[in-house]
Amino acid sequence: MARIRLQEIAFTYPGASEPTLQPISLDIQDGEAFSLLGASGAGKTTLLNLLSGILPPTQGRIFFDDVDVTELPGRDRHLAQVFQFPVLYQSMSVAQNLAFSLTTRGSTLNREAIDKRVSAIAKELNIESILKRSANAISLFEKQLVAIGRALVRPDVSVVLLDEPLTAVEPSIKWRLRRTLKHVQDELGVTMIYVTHDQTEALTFAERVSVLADGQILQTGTPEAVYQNPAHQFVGHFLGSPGMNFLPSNAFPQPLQRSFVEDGDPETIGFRPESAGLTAPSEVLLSGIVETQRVLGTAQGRVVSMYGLRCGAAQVFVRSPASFACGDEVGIALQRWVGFREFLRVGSNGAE
Amino acid sequence: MAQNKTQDNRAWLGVLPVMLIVAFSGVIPLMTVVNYSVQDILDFNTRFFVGFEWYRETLTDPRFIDAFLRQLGFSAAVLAIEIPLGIVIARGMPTQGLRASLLLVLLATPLLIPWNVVGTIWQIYARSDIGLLGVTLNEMGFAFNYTAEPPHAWLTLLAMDIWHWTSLVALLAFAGLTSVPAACYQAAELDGASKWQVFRHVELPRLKGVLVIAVLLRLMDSFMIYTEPFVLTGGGPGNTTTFLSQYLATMAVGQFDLGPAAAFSVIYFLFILLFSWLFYASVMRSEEGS
Amino acid sequence: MSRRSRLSRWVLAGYCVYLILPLYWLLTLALRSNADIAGVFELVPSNPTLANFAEILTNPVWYQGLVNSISYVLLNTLISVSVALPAAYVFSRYRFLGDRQLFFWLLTNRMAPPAVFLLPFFQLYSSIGLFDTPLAVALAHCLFTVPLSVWILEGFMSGVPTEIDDMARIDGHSFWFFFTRIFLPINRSAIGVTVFFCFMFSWVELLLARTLTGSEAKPIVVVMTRTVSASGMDWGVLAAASVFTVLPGILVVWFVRQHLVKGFALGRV
Repeated sequence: MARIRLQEIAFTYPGASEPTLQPISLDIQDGEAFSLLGASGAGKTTLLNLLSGILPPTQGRIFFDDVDVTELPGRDRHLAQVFQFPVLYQSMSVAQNLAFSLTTRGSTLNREAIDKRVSAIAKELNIESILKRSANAISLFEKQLVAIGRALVRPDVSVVLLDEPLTAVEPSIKWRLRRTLKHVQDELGVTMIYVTHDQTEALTFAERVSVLADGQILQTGTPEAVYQNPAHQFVGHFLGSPGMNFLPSNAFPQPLQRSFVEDGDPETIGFRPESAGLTAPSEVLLSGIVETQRVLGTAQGRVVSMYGLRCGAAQVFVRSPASFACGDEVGIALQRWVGFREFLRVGSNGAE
Repeated sequence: MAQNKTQDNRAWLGVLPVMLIVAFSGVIPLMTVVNYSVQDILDFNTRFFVGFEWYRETLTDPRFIDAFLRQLGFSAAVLAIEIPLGIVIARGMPTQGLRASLLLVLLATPLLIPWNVVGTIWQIYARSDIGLLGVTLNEMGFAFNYTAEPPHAWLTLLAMDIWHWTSLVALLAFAGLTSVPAACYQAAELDGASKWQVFRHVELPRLKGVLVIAVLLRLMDSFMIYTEPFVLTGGGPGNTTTFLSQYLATMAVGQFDLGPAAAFSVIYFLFILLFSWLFYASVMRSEEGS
Repeated sequence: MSRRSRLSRWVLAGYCVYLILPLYWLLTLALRSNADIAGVFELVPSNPTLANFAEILTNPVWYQGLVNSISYVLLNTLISVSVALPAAYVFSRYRFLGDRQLFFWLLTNRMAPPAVFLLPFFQLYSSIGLFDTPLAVALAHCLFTVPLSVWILEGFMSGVPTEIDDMARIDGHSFWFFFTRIFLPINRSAIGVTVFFCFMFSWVELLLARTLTGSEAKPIVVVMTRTVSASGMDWGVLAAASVFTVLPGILVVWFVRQHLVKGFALGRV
């Protein structure tokens, strides 16, 4: 396992007018469960390819445990990767697939040590029963488990890269694979970098998340930090379903505007649907008109709904157990908000 | 074949045109042949039923056996060279760009040249009086003359067949290789696999399907070869390069010995039928597996 | 292209040279007169002439041969593809009594040795008065090209989801509309590949083409096999004729090159 450090890494495709990745620095701890979250085209795959040695960075250095690996080819970096679909050796058995990387590179392990390691990994992943089967003859879910096993089998692997590993798996059992990954990461203390566009996967798996957009890292932090305290408007918008609501600060009543100015003088206020409450309209509260209502479920005996509200020209979502009808005028009380100026966070306020 | 097919016997309407044409082109003539093979036809009105007499005679005819053995030797040599060569070539081909397109055209061209022209091209090329190859070899000290020396004739025929058909194997293998996802190569690289291991574990399994097809196709087609050797050597010197098809053609058209020729045809066809069945089975099996 | 090993690339380069040399030599001989060829051996023609090509294009025996060959190949391709399209569609969409057996039987026809059919074809086509016509050769070649076309088309069509058929039906289109305006355009590359392979079989075949033609419909390949003049082999003209028979092939490949690899990938050649 290794500590991964990216120092001002940038990449531009030869002949491209714009860089795919702006200079990025990241410090991933040894044994950390780390996630790179971003929409398609944000640069996640490029970053992954820089880490695995397929692409050389246009500038910057990469360190694995203080060793500069920037010039090293992929095979010498001691990495492993799990791909979007199971990448196995079709003509070999599951056990042979797991053992393969232990037999290459003039490896000095003897047969016994290899078998022991293969069994140990198979046990962690609960695939002991299929060890003898051909890699062709197992289900897609099992194949991806074997792929994960292949990534974990080498004791000297520095980091495991996961490129949207749940893509090929059926939706109904994605959670099983997710849980297995988390469990294995915990147990073995493997440094894992999990690249995905799915926020649920990222936020449930990782100890820390980096949100990537347009070739730049907008924020790195724990899932709670990025969720509750986005450093960039895009992060607030991207995370959450639906994402953060944004309103210009002058859409709020005067008393509120004055309090905003005290907390960093933002031009845009962001708040999450669950960080606001609905009550009777009032002069000191933001007002809105109920347009849509979607029942989400019940909590503590009350029906919780997601309300779509019109505030002036903008549409805002608030989750509330209160009961309103379409057309009602309501007051929106902010429990927690984040202020932005030119897309960057300048202040925030809210109950902890 | 596709997964969700509906059962409907009215589908026969769709295959009716095909059936008619192939029956006209194939079944009727074939039945004629089988008919002739069990008769002794002296002239149009005089014919006797002779049972399996012709079959017996053909299978014990020394010239038939010679032609058959020659054919086996030729087909074996052809396969032994063209299959590995085709694979190596396929592994060297680029997949994109103008170079790839031009290469594709160059490789496919020999496959589209009329077979007698292939023979002619190699005549012009290998002759010791006007041929680039022939003259060059003689200049270098080899007394090369494929019209007079059987070993030279064999080598020239082999060289010609390799020139003519290796592209088929290469294109099939190339198509198989392009189906390998980049991620498989990447994973092997991260595993630290050697070049040989990459070939054996990543590429070869994907090539198995197309390779079986390539082997069967080349085996069958080389077994039926007629035109190119006929144009190049005429079966000579003597009959040292007379293979099965040529022997049959001489019997059927030249000598008008209909009975034995027909029996020969049926035996020939049965061999081909065996290979076709293997071909069919392997294509169907590889499709079910994928 | 790091996966292309050095050995493979050198072998490929060597094989390209191996392929080009005889073709180059052909071209040089086509550009020289017979006297020139018999007289001097040279690597690059010092007295190139277009006379041989002119001979092919002006002498009716030659250009009629070319026309005849192109006629029967076009006829054959047209017939094969037209007849194979409905059959392939039906094989890919329906199960019916005897379908597997029929499919296999078709394949055996593709594998049939032409030599076996020489005599029966000769008798058959003579008896129905088609002897010595391009149509006879086109039909005879159908023995191989029709099964091949069905095979290739079926392989491609199986990959087209049946949902498309359903959607067209739900939209209220007639089967004819669906087939001609929706289904066929989707299978453009399949048809292109099929045309390539029909061409590959029909253009190159000599035995049947020779047996079924006399003086009227003589294809160029037969004209070539009979080209011996009083002064010996007419190498220059023969080479020029050969060049003319190589060119159509190059054209066909160039036009379908994008679909070619997919066609080979099916493995149903």
